[in-house]
Amino acid sequence: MFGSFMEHYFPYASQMGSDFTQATEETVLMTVSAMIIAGVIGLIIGILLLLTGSRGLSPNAPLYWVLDQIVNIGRSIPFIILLAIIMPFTRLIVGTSIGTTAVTVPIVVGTIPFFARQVQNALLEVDPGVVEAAQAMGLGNLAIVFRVYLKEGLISLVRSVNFTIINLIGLTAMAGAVGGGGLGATALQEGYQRGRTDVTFVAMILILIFVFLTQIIGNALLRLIAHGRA
Amino acid sequence: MIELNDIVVKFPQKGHVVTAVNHVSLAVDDGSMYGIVGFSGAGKSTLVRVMNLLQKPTSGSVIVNGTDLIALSERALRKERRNIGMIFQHFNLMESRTIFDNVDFPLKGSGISKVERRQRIEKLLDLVGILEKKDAYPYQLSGGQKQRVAIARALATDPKILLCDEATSALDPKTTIAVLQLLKEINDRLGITIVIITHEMQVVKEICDHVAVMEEGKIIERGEVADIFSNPQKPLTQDFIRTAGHIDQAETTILEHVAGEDVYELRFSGSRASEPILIDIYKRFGLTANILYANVEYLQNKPLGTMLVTFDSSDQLGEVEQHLQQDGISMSKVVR
Repeated sequence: MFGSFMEHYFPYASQMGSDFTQATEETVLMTVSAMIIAGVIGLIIGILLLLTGSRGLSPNAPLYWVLDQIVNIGRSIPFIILLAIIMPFTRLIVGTSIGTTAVTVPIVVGTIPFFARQVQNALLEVDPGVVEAAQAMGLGNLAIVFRVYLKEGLISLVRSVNFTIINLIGLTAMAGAVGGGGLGATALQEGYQRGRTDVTFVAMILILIFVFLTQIIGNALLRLIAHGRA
Repeated sequence: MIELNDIVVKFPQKGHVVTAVNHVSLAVDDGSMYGIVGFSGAGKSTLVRVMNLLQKPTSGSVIVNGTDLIALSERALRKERRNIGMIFQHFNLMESRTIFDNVDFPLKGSGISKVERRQRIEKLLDLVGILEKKDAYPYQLSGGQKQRVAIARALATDPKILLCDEATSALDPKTTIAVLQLLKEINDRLGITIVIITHEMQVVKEICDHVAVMEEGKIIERGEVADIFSNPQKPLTQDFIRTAGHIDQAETTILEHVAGEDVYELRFSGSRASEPILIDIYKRFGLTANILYANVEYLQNKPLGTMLVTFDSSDQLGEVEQHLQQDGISMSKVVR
């Protein structure tokens, strides 16, 4: 019954079971590895923006200006153009410019400024009074970053990570256009370009499931750390 | 002992420089409860932040417990700050930590064992009367309870000084009294020097032994609370004292009833409060005084009297004033 329904409405997609499994794995792999790499670098840049800003713990106008400009410009370049422009750099680091590993590079580069700004804004929400209290207690800047900002700003940070992952999934799909793997590539190359609408549709559904799962996990995590506050 | 010598704090703003603290020297003795009162913008919050160097002064020196804070390295200053507790208007508790963990916050990494920390924290929470809330989160507490937690946290490192920046300004009157009583108790029992920044003279009257009045970055008047209340010199100080007593409300009603007559205010303190001043005036000058309002309050166990009177003649009032002045009683005509 289900088999014949699939064959009737999804003539091509129903024949591609293992392709979809592989594409999903690639999407998850690209998303997770990009989030980890961009997460670490973005977190560091975000914290530096926070510290060197005019109201930060260690104001440094020139450094702030440079970081701020990098983040601004990085966020302004459309991803599809960044993909093309960054190709020589990609080839330099991973040796090739096509495939799943190769597109992870522009995805990371595109995500760092996005996430850095999110981190900066999330940590700016931490009550300056609490930071002042920590200073009055004799904490140094590094201790304040770890014990006050990252701890008190954790809810906002988790929200930022969640938001960034969903944005990342969008980027992985776009990377499919230039020879990356994953569900985006399946949707474009196997579905759209060959006129197989059902394949595109199934790829889209799988991407949506991935997005929803991210949101559900993120919300559960938020409830866990909010202790009834949010 | 806190000694501020010739402190100046300037903030550069767009196009000009704002002087928040203007050549202030101040000494706070050990075990004292020192009130610094002024309107917002007077520079009092800036001044209190100079005491633990959260605000570096443009010039001047800060000596706390014999240590020149400005000469210290960043690291040594951080260590010294552990001897100076601070509480704030908006409590500044860590929302993501329990009450217990909030008080534990300054103790972590101090080398004290976990068992000892637990004992100390529970003792402190008991002292401020909030032990049963130790596993709650700050958002579950009322303002008064939050300030109690903040006090426990400030005392965790065993400081010798406690700085209070508008600590009761966000609390209702009843809770304010309770928190002030707690501060008084801490001062009595632990001998901690307490500096209280406030815009409410009522707070000073309730618990302080010394007071300084600030206006536009300067201390315009200072002294023992009983002296300042009985004989305020500056108009601003007089204003503040009025708002702290019941006389302010009483005055309007009284003046309405005796329109057209001159009303005089007499203030006296110490032993004079128990002597029959008005009989004395009658005997000496033959003047009858009509009492419109009278009140005696006790500040640091010293009586402080206030009276509003009218006289049946204005002939010898200049001499009356002089006579009273000699006896330490201030007399002034109430301006309508």
